[in-house]
Amino acid sequence: MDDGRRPRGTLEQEVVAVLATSARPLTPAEVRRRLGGPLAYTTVMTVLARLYDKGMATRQRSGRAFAYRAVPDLAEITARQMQRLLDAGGDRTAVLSRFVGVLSDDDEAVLAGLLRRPQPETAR
Amino acid sequence: MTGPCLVGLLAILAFGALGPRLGRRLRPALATRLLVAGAVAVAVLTVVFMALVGVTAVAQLPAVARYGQWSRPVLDQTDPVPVWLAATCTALLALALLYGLYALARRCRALVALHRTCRGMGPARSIIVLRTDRPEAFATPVGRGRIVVTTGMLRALRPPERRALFAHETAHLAHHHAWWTAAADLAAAVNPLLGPTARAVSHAVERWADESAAAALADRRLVARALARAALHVDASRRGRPVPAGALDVVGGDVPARVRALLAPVPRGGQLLPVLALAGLLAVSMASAGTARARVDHFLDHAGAPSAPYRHGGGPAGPGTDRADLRDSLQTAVSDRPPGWPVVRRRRR
Repeated sequence: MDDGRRPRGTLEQEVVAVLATSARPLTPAEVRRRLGGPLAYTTVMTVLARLYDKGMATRQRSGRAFAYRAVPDLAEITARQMQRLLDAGGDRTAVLSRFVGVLSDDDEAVLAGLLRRPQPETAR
Repeated sequence: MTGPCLVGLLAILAFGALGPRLGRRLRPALATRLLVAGAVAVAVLTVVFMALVGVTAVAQLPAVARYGQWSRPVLDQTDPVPVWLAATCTALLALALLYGLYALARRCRALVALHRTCRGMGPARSIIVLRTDRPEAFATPVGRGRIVVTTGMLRALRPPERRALFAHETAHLAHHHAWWTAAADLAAAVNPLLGPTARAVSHAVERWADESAAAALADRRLVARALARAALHVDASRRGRPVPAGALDVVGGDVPARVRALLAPVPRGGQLLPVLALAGLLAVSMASAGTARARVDHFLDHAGAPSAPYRHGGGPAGPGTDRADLRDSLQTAVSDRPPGWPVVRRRRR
């Protein structure tokens, strides 16, 4: 389903994302399937091993392979701190480069429309 | 004096009004650099102009005049700016500098607070996943930068869309966008006319990160879809919760415009004209600041002219020779004044 180009460095981030959103430990094969796309098994395995070395993932034996899990949690306190940071407004939020900001009601309708719009194959 | 100041003021006003509009026609990376450089230059020029006008009044304060060895009657007689205007400029200058310092302190405090929060969050340059349903994603500029994303946001996006999100935030960190926006915000604190320019810079860095993610993934549509889906999800989860004050105008705003720009073909051409226009405005205001400075220098030199009666006597004009000397030095100092311009007559504006 996904054959887009993958910029350097984002693979590791994607693997962390896959591990973090999974409820159970994942083997390299499962991670590779969830990432989608033409990725070599060894590439995924290398990334997982590196994450384990960095202390960003834990692993346990699962049959012949290891199953990896994102580091248990960065403490509940961090999520609360983040919440405070984001709700403070003003300079507290101005220093963060947020992916998306707040929408107005009109924006919402516009975006929903854009997502529904069929995708033309050729650029205008 | 009034002439160059008026020209400078007009150029500054024109930059404040046209800057954001011209910036929209430039590629985002160029727009960011040019608008920030322009905003900082305009903020500095604002301070220079107000200081130049203000000093004509300040120099007439008895203590200051004594310190500079200027003759107050001569200052009063040749004063190129009405005292009320110069005094107003001095007050505004003090306000602008104080507010600029306050804004700087506030921004530094926010960075320190952010640094404290992030210290315990895993290695720098890594992504940090927070387990909460609240969908959020952002990059933090302190340290070597971290990308923070919640499981709520990750679940909302499909795997290729997550890649767009990471590429976008990585671009923010790689190009140090937080510092560009901080510079623009500080310039706007010194000169409020730069408010729209600072907002244009915030938008330009988001566009910059969007375009650089689109280039890295070689897929503009994917980035557009990721943006739209993330924004709608954030919006849906926010329903029923109060929107934090000031959140609308800070970061990541104007998502529809960003999505539309990504769905449109890559913008091309027409970069030279806006660049020249902005550079021209800056050159004009810098040149007029130079002229204004020369006038003020002359005004003060004149009052401190080495002819004794003017410096210490403070009385009426001395013997004719002194006056001739004075006129000579005047004519050499300011070339655009007609020869024989009477020294002691108050200039009409």
